[in-house]
Amino acid sequence: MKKLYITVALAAACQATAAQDAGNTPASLEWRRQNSLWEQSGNPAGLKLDAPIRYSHVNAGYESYNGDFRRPQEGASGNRQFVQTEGALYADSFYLSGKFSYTRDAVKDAKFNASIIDPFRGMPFIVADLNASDWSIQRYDLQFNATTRAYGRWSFGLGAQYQASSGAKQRDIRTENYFYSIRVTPGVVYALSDRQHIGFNLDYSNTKEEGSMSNVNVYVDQTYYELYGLGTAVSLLGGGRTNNYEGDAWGGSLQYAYRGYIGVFVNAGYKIEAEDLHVSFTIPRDGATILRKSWNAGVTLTNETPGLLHTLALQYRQRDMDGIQYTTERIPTAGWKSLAKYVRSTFASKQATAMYRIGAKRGREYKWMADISGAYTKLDDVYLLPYSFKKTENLNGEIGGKMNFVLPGNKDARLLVGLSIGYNRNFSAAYEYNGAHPDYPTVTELETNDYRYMASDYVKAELPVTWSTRLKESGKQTLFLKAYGRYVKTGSYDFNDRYTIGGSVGVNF
Amino acid sequence: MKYIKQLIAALSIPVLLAGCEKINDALDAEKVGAYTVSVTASTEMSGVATEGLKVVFENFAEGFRLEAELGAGATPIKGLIPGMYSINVSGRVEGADGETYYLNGSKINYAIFKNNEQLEISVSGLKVSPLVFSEIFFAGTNPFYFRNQFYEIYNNSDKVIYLDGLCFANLMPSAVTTNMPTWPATDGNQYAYAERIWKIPGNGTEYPLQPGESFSIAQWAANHQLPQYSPASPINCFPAEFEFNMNNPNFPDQPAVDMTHVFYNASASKGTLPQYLVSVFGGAYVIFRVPAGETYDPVNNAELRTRNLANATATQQYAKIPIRYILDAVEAGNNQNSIANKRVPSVLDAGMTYVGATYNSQGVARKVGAVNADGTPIYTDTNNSTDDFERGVVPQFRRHGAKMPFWNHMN
Repeated sequence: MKKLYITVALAAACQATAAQDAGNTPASLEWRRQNSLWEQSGNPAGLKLDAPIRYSHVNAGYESYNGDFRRPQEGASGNRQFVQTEGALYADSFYLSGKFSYTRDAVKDAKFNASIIDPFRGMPFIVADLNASDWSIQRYDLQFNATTRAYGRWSFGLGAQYQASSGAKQRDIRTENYFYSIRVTPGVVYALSDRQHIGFNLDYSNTKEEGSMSNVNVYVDQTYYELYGLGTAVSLLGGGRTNNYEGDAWGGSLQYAYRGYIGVFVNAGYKIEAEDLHVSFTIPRDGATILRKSWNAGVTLTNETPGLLHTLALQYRQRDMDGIQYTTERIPTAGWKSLAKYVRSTFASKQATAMYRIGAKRGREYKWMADISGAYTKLDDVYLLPYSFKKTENLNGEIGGKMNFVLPGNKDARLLVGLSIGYNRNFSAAYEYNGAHPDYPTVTELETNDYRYMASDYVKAELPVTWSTRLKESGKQTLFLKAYGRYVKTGSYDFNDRYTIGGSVGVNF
Repeated sequence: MKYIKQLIAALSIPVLLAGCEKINDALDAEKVGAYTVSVTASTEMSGVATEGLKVVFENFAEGFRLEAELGAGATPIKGLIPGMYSINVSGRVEGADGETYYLNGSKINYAIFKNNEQLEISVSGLKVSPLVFSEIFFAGTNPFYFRNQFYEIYNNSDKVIYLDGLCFANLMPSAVTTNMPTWPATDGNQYAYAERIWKIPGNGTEYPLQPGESFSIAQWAANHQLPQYSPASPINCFPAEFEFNMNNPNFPDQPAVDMTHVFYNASASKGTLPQYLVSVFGGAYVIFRVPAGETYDPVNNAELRTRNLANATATQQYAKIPIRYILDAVEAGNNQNSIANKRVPSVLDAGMTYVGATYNSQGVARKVGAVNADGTPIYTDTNNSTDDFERGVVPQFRRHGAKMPFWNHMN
């Protein structure tokens, strides 16, 4: 916690110098984020092309969730406290931006995870037990981006992110986990003309998660399962094991932007990641490896008139993962030796999204905004031998809008009210397990209920309300209070609903 | 500035290379496919053919099993998933001496990762045992009551067997572990290694066991279901014929006959432990008999004992039991995956049995293969506890109509 206070204080002190002259309402910052396409692309060299402003933002909040419409490894309920701060400033002709967030999660009654802080981060090789348990998790996320001045037609940038998490499962089999990730994204942008730019950035990250499992009640040995995907599992008895996950990732992205009557932003990226699992620190054994390959491509078209901004965005994302298992043998004096490795499972996901948004401008903020979007998502997971599969196809539509009401007074008071409604339609789904031990709960509960979640139709509604006002008539500091509620309702299988409510208070300055 | 750039470059290169190494290693993995292995069985027993023997490939971790019959010469076995296997060749044959022998050979924890591999498995013969473990209860009862462990042994033959001098031992390691001991290389595959050995007393004809009769050896032959012990115990061990009496005044001697202590840590003394507790995770147990005319004294004969050579500072001594002495062996572990750390030579027990948890009041019981004319069972004995035993049964004495010997103290 001490580290947290120091970091927040430093971030706030740095950002205090970045106070800017106008447009500090929540709507203005949201508008800026939505229209900062270079920032969204992840190329730090292009940040200045977003015509950025100096700003600072800090908020702290709390949210709570509950409901049975969830994946089996999610908490039955839980709450989260968070502090977030971000800001940007010009230093001479350089542009610097930074973010920090701290989140404390209290997850209640999560099942089938006894070994990893985030079971949804694309690592299927984990240990699952049968005891629904609370988890206490803390997450830190620190980011910065720096953009140089232009050197002729060239601009350079560097982005970095450091994430650290710690998590502890509260019931036997317990585990204490520590995770970190470091990411570096150097980039370059070349100006073809005043209106046209192309960019390229590299993306390197290194991750590590260590987990030590144990029983407090050593008299009761727990049944646990080493998961290999789609329900395939090895059943064991005892107090678990120690896990050491280490991963590296390389990637790169290309961008092209054109500014004219129609603005065009094209992006395409590729990333390859390998994450190894070593079991035990004393006599390590190759447990498994996951190889992830991700592609993304998209185009965003914008048209700005004196009063309106139209945005049409098309995006495609694909992630293919190979689950690699090892054949190992124990040599008494030399530890574990890997004899062979095979791709035993593949996990593929594809998503295509289209979004149209129209917003009415009012200075640096918007008066109102409306959007409509659709997403097609396909999951195709296969365990190769013995052959098992889990496949789903979903179509998701969402429509939403926000009104930014001006309240009386001289302090730029605003009431920002939004509403979005979505509908997810599953039109294809199948799960078939043909491996050993079909009676294991990893098949009958974990994978079956996960599949049902993925194959459910549901409606979703979200209502955010934000009130804001300048603290002083002549000052720039804007206080805001935000509350939001999200409700997801389904009638599929035995699920019912899930809700999230939350709120935060903060200042833009 | 120049030096800083060089330093950054020098520091970056190993990081970048390390990142590439993980990814390149992962990219090297090939997609799994079904493999074929050709198996040949060889034996030194004269006049015995291996054709018709059963070969079983079992990958316990993945729950994959493939069974086939050996032909003459090399037999191709198709459809194997690469991985670690227990491969067992077995079958009953008639020897040149007219005795029935159980041919068995195996490779335990054998990695199959080459397609079209030629595999030769040598099989050796063991006389079919007239005495077999018919039921074992090792897991204990919740909460943490372990004094109700027992071992039932059955006369599976058609002849009277005198139990006098029959030995019982638990083998090392006492529980399943990945830290396997190292035994003297000169021992070859000739021995099993015991932590403690007991013997049935008697003058040679005191304890006859008729065909279809069984007897039990209890850790403590008391009525465990009494309120002061463990009312939840599934078994009352009072009727047991023998007990391992460790002279603990808190758990006094019972009417059952005391087993004679033979060996523990190079001594005939029982030592100071308050009970003879074998792992509630499952141990490995043997019954054996010293052939007539031979002397077996691991206490006084240093050639018949050893320490664990894997640990340079270990001093505990273990008895070497010649495999040819052993009549039956059963290995038990935590669950089906424990076989990856098998400790009993496969010629004695090619598999492993289990109940999947500790203190769950469940035991293992040998399966019935046939029934005698008097209704007593003929138990299955394929030398593979995985196949031969029912798992997770509620323990009981003389299951399936086995009879009680007349000399039981209850009579």
